[in-house]
Amino acid sequence: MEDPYVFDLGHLLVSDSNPLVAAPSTASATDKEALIAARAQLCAQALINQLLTACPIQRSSEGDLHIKLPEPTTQLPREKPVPKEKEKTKWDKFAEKKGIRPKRKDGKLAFDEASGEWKPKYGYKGKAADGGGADWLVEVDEKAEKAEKEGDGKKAKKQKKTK
Amino acid sequence: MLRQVKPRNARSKRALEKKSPLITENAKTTLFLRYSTCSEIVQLCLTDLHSLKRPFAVKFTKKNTIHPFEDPSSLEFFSEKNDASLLVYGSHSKKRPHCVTFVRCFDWKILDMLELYIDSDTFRTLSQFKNAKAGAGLKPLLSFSGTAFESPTANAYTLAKSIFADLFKGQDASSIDVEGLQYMIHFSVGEEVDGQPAPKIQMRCYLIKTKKSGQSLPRVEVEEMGPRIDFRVGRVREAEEGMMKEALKRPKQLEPKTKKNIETDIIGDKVGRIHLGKQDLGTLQTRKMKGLKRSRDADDETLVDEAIDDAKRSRLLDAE
Repeated sequence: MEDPYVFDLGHLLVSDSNPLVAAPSTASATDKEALIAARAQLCAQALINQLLTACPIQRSSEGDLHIKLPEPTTQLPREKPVPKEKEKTKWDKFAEKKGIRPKRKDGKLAFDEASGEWKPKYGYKGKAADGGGADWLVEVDEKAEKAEKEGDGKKAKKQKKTK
Repeated sequence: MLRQVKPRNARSKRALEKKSPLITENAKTTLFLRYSTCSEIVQLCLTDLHSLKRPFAVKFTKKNTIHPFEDPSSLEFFSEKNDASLLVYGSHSKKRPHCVTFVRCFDWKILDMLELYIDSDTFRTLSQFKNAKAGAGLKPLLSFSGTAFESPTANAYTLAKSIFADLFKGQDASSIDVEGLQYMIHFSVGEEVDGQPAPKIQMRCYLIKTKKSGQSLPRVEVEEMGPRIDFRVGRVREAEEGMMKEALKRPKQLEPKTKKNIETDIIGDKVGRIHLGKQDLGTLQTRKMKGLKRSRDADDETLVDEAIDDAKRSRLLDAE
């Protein structure tokens, strides 16, 4: 019984552990080549068959057929050692402890209740484009104005004292 | 050790980061070198291997007086400077004719070396095969035939298999276009018989041609495109245990994440659990459940009749 081929599809590799039939020493060079070629043809056929049957095939947008390869099984040595884990900076440690996560971007679109559409906040067709929106006119808030005036007064008093 | 280059701008910083240790590594670059004496056959062989390995190959033209098995420090320097972890060194001397040494590096230090002698009679270059060649940069199919490659004890042939696989595998890819399966590199070795000289490793490269067959799978035909090289095994320098172990380590980030909460039934169905919180029975809406209004003394039959009446009435109400 012949040994089955061992495939490593991640590397497109096939190992054929059957002993090679030694060509008789009287055979010509072309015959010897023909033997090797025959062997190679068997290996290629087996590998292509395995690839087309065992791996999922998808059709890409351009119309090409893509074969999704599995992880390679033969372990080959790396080029460089595994990178060491970078030490966390002081801020990273603080943020982790406090539970501060990086601010996520809201994106350009905002939902407009009045029209029920997603409209851009700024830029092309933004708020400025449609007449500045509803809040271009703001009523004067009497209380806020007064508080501001008084606040200034306090500051002026402090400055006089320090002088 | 080379002097540490401090990056002065973003471009040099990116270049430096590409050369640094990474989780998923780039394709290995190969460096082709010559000794001060190098026969024409070896030079042709180096040129052909360089063209097979494009674009991940660098070829030096100057001669170097390096003896890899005695003093590899010069090779380590070249490897670091050119960011090449595979080296192919060709030389020719009376004692070792048509000799090609394959060197593999880890962390810019020599990991292992394999010396092979080319058989000058059977050597054929790429140009001697008059046919179209495969495109550059494609991933070849690899095949190894013969029991010596699979021997349980690590010998020169298992090392050769590992080095050839490393050398020719090209870029690691998770998916490949069917159009890109264009050529195959086939290594075959005869049987190791005691008493007879060690078998040669025969390297042949074939173009893959697929023809329509009756079944769904195509019929594959091979056409030799060269180069055709027969190697005799020479000296071997195996890798140190510790270094090889370090080189084979896989980073934690590449380990597949086990998905929790997925189990398979006895039947084979995929089952998961949805965890809902405890239901607050106080807020349960009981007013709209007619079945709860009936007193418990009533018969089952009357219950059913009353249920039917209720349904009719509600339908009439809805119609209005």
